[in-house]
Amino acid sequence: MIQDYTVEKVMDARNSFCPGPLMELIKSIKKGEVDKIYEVWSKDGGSIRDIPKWVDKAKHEMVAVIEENGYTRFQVRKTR
Amino acid sequence: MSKNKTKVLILGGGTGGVIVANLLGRKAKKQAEVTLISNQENVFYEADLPYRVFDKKSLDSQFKPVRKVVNKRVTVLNEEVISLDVENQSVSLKSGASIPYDYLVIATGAHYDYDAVPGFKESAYHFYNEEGIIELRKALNDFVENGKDGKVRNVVVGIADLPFKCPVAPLEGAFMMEHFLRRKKIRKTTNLHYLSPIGGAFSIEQANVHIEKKFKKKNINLHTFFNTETIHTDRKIIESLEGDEIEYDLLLMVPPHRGQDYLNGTPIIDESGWVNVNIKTLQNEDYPNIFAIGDAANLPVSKAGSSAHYQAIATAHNLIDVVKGKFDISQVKERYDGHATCLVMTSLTSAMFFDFNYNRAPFGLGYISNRLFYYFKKYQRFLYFYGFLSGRM
Repeated sequence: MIQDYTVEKVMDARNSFCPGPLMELIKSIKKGEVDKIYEVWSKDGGSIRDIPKWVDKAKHEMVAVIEENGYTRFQVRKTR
Repeated sequence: MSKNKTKVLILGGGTGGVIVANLLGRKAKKQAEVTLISNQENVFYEADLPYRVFDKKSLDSQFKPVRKVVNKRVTVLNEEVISLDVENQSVSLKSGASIPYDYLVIATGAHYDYDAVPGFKESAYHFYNEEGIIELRKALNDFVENGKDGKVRNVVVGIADLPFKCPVAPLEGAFMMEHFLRRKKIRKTTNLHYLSPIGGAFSIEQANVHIEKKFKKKNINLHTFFNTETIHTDRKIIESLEGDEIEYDLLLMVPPHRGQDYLNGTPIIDESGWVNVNIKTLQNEDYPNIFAIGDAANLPVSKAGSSAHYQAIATAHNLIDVVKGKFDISQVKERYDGHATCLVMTSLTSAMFFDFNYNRAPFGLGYISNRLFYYFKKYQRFLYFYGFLSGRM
């Protein structure tokens, strides 16, 4: 799949445990610009549950959830 | 002191720094010249601070002079570090002195940045230091007095920003507040709210189930994914990054934590000022002669006294082996496994016990809230000053 958008910032949180990856994402979105896409990498199983729930609650947009070898990449667009 | 000795410099006279100093002072006395620099004259015992809000006793017993709890072979300087030069291996002090080191242990903890969240300074109370506790005690007293009129009011317990020291502390604050309000006979007219920045009340799922069960039983309203953005003092409303709003009459909130200023501009910290270290060796990977432990370190584990305690023991043993020539600094062992221990107050007279590490959740028996764990928590202070700080336990 060819990605037709640019990711503003990638946070590698594979060394972190839940809720670390979510917190990395929140920190970047808080500081970031509207419409930009932020990506966080996590290998903690809890992120699969927590990150989409938070994105939904905070009314941002989950652009993609990409499964890699042993970790997951979450791409989120800041919408407000 | 011998010129041939290896210079080990420890920054910070809290739990982690004192334990490293004591172990090195005792076990590497022939090989290491150990110096500890602290900007505080006293070691401050913090583990029972949430509890101390609700008793009216003096806080004097929380303190012991650093000099008294540190091994006599260790040089203790009551000074403030103003900068660190990692290339030239030295720190500069406010007094103008410069102290060189061969190995450095950073254990200077976190500082509270009350301005980091708008409205915090004007509106929120906390129990993270002596001044905070004294102010909170007064505010609670007023709240109880006002509560006699029978009007319904909101007490909110929350977290201003992440990360913060001791993830169970605000939970304890909520549980003890609930019991306190019952004792004062104003629980029925007080709505108690808990604001959690994550998807549950606690980060470890197995423990979270038990915490949330207790919240339900005690009628504490849990608000998840509530990351504090602004406290509107005029309207008495807390607004979250997610767009929620909660009204408060009394706000008890963990203050925003940040890394220490003297580390700013050094190449060893992350964006928030925490020292980057390997999660198992606690060593900075670019500057292997620098270790960081406790709240100062950027680790995926609770910032808490117990973690600092285990990290200090791991770091001290690595340094002892290095200065004794057992192995090179590039070969330090992965001695820290993420171990943390918490006695979690679940009322003013009961507690749970969590013991966990990077790979293991707390044991099942620890979830049983009981009086025995409460007594451990109540008297742990003595064990801390006369046992833990020595590094023997």
